[in-house]
Amino acid sequence: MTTAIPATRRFRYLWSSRFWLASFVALILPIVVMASMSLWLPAGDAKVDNLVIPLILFPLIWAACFFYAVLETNLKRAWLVMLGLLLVNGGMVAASIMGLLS
Amino acid sequence: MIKLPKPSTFRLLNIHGWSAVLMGLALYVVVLTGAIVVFEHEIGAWSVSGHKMDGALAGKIDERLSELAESIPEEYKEELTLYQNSAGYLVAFFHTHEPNETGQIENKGIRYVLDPASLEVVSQAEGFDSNMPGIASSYLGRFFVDLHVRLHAPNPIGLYLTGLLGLLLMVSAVSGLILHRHLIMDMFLSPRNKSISLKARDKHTLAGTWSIPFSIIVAFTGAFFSFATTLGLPVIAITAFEGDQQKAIETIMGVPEEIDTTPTPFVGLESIVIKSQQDNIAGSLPTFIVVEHWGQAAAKVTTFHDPANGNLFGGTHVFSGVNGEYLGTKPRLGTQPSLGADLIALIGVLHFGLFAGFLSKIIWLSLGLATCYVTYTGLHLWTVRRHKQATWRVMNRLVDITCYGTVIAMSSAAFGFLITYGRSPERVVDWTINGFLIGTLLSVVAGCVRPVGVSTTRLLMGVMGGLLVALPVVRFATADGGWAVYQLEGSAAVIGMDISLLLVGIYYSATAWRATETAKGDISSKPALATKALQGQVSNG
Repeated sequence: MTTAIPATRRFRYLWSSRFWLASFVALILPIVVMASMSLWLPAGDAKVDNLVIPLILFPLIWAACFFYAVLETNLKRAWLVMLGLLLVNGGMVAASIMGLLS
Repeated sequence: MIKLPKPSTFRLLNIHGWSAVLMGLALYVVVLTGAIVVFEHEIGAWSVSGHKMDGALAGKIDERLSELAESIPEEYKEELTLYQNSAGYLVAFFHTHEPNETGQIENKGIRYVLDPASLEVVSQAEGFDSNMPGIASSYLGRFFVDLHVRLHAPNPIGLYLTGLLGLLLMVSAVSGLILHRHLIMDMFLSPRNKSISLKARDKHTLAGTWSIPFSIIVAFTGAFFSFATTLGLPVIAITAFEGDQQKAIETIMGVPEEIDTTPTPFVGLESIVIKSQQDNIAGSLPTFIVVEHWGQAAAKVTTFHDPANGNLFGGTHVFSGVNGEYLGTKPRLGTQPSLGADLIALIGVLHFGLFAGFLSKIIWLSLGLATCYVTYTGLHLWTVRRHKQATWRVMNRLVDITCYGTVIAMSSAAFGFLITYGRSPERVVDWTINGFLIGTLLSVVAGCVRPVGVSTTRLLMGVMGGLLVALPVVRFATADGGWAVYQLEGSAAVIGMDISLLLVGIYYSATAWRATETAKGDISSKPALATKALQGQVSNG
C-alpha cells in the first residue's frame, strides 16, 4: 500500500541530473548520431546505404542512449560519455553543413 | 535475468511503471488497433459483405483506362496508380506532383473508383491527395488504419505521437526483460490463486514474457515508420544534402532519367499484367501498378507483387509503356539492389506480419492482443495498489473506459459504416466518425455510472460483448444478398469475421454475466470477501 507523496518530494526527479541525461540528452544525441552516420557509413553500390541505415537504426540508437543513461552507475561518466559523443558527432554534422567536408 | 544493483533495479521499475501510467493508455489504443488492422483487407471485405471481385487487375481494363486518360488534363498523365481496395473496387489515380498550400510536394490529380466487373465509374474526386474524401467502400478499414498510424491527429503531430509511443513500448519491453528474475520459468508460469493481486501479477508477467520479442520488433519497426519521414529524412537532408529534401528523396528513390516527352501511344496494361505473371518474372498477379508518363516515349509501367513461391519479399518489375518489353526488376530504393533496401523491406514484412502468410497474421494478432492485455493488467496492478488515493481510483476507471471503450468505439464506428454504406454512401465518412464518437461517449457514460472497480469492469465488458455480437447481425441485416452472401466465392472473410465477432462477443458477455452472478452470490453469503474482491481486481481474461 502506498501513501501520498509529500508535495516537496513529488517533482524531485526534476532536480536529478540523470533525469535530464535520460530525457533531453538521450533525445538529442541519437538525432545527431543518426545525422553524422550519413557522413561516414559506406554508401554501398546503390549509394543509399549511408542514408537509409541511420534512419533504420535511429530507434535502436535512442534505446541504447536511454538505457545507458538510466543504468550507468557512475553518473559523471555517463555525462562525459554522452556529451563526448554529442561533441564528436555534432562537430561532424556542423562541419558538413558548413561545407567543410565536401 | 540480469543482476543489477538495487538502485538501478528500482529506477528501472519506476520507469517501467511511470512510463506506462503516463502514456500507456494511448499506447494501448495504438497496439490494439495495430493488431486488428493486420486484417485490414478482411475487415474491408467484411464491411461490404464480400470482396467484389478478385483479380480485377487481370481484367479487360485497357479500353476503360484509355477513355479516362483522354478526358483528363495532360499534366495528370505524369503518373497513374492502379490497385484494388479492400472492398474489391478498382482505384485509378491519375496525378502529377505539385507543391500544396504548405509548400510540400504532394500528389494532385483525379481519382476514379471503378466497379471491378463493369468498370463503371462509381465515384471520382479531384484535387490534392490529402484533401480528397475517403473512398466509401474501404473507409472502415482506412479509418482503423489511420487511428493506428497517427491516432487521427494531423501530420506530423500524429506520426510523432505514435513514434514516441513506439519508443515507449520499447522501453517497457526492454525494462520488463531486464527486470525479469526468471525469464524462462516465467514463460510457463501458472497464475497462483493465493490472492487476487498475486494472480493478476502472475497473469501480467506470463503475458508480458511471451510478448517481449514481439513488442520489441513492432516497437522498433513502428518507431521507424513514424520517424523516418518526419524526423529522419529532414535531418539527413540537412546534413548530407545542405537541407535539400527533394535531392535526398531522389537519391534514395533513384534519380529520374531524362524524360522523352515525344507523344507515343501507350501499349496498354493487359499484355503487361499477363507477362508479369510468368514464372520467370513475378509468377503472380500484381497488387499495385504504377504507370509513368502515359502517352509519351518515356512511358514506364512498374508492377508490385506480393511474395510468391516461398519468398520473403514481393517483387517489383518494370516494363516499357511503349512496347511492353520487360526491363527488369526495380529495387525498392536507389537504382541497384542494396542492404538498405533489403532492410526496409524486412522492416515492412516484420511490422505487418507478412512473413508467413495468413499464419503470421494470426500470430501477430494474438501477440498484439497479448501486449494489450499486458498493458491493461499492468495499469490495473498499479492503480489497485494505490486505491486509497482518489487520483488512482479515477485512473483505474479511466483504464477500464479506455481499454474496453476502444473496442466499443470501433464497433460503433462499424455500425455507422454498415448502416449508411448501402443506403447513403456519401454519408459513410461522416457516420463512421460519428459512430466512433458515440461509442466513445457510451464508454465514458458506462464507465462512470457504477462504483470504481469490478462493477465498472463488468458493465463495460458486457457492453463490449453485446456490441460485438450485434455487429454480424447488423451487417447481415444491412447487406444486399442476405444468406446468399455466405455462398459466394470470396466470402471467406465475411464468414470468418462473423464467426469471430460472435464468439468473442458471446465470451465477453458471458464472462460479464458470470461475474455479476458470482458477485451477487458473494455479497449475500460472504460480505467481507465480496468487499475485498470489489476493492481488488477480478482478472478476467
